[in-house]
Amino acid sequence: MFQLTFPVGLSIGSLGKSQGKFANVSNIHFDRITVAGGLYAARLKSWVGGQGLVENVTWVSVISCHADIRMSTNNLTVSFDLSLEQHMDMEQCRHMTPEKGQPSTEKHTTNPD
Amino acid sequence: MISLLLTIGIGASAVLAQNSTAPKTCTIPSKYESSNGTADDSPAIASAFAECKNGGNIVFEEGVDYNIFRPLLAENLTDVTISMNGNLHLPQDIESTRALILASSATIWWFNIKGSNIHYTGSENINNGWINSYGQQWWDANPSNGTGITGRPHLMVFNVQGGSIKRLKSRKPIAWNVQIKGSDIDISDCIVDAVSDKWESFPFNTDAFDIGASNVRITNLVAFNGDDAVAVNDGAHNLYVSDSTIGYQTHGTSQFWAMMVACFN
Repeated sequence: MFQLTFPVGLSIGSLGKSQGKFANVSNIHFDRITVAGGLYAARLKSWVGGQGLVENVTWVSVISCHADIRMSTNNLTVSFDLSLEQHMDMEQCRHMTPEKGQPSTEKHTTNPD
Repeated sequence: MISLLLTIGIGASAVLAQNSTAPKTCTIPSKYESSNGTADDSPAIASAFAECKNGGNIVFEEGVDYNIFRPLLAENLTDVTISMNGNLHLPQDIESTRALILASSATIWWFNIKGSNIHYTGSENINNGWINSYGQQWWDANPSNGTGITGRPHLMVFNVQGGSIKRLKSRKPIAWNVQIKGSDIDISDCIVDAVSDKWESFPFNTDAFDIGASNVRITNLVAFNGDDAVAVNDGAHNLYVSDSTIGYQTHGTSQFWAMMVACFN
């Protein structure tokens, strides 16, 4: 029941709910984020039939604890599923502070256009 | 004699002119304590925002409690600082608040802050500067298999051309926290604590920051909530979010607080 409404972290959208309106988002950068629990760390949400442009979005050094960390899209005609894998074990999670976390070196940039 | 009077007159008007351009401070009085927490301080808060809307400093006093039982409409602000050193309390009576929201066809924000060069700064004391929305009872009232009850207000819209939000602290928001509009806004050291006491009472839609603005920086955000920590909406351009901790602590509030303390030490 709660699966779709867990904290979803850093989200683009949702976009395109009003189909007649062109949604526009650009130059978004997330850096050094610790995610403690939640379903997704990063997500792009759009509505079927919506229109718009999302360009130059970067998630970098996102650390996950508890969360199944991945980027997912919802109702996108173009789908992609990138992984930002940086799990920590439960013991680390219990004692986690942002300073103790080791940032991921992975970097993903999406340019849907 | 005439010249002496003239001199005094000029001197007096010079002082008046100086006073009219100096920053004005509006310290908000509270009736919370004298009324045992029952009186509404909304009128005094609204008066302060009206009186100090041009180049003023609006001050909620350190550690003082304020009831804000009515939404605040503070638009047309220019060069204003808001010092949130007190602790605010939204209504604890759900039904009258729901009635207010449901009677409006438009979205209702509890704090409507609009203008240019606006700076909101919370107390440096971790115990002060909190906005208490008493969301738990709203979450408890979630209908079975629903995603939040109807008639929920949004907490704040911050629609400014130039400004900042520093140390905004939101405890148990009813739902959506802060919507950012406008441009050139620096958001730092904010806390959103939407952790429910009960697993079955989920804090739906408690987005921390919804961004529909340009040139926005968010740093050192701690958001434990039931929806997006940062939602990037239409019209968001040049947004930088860094050095933040987000999520939801499902093992009780004590661990949540331990983590928060760790984050701020």
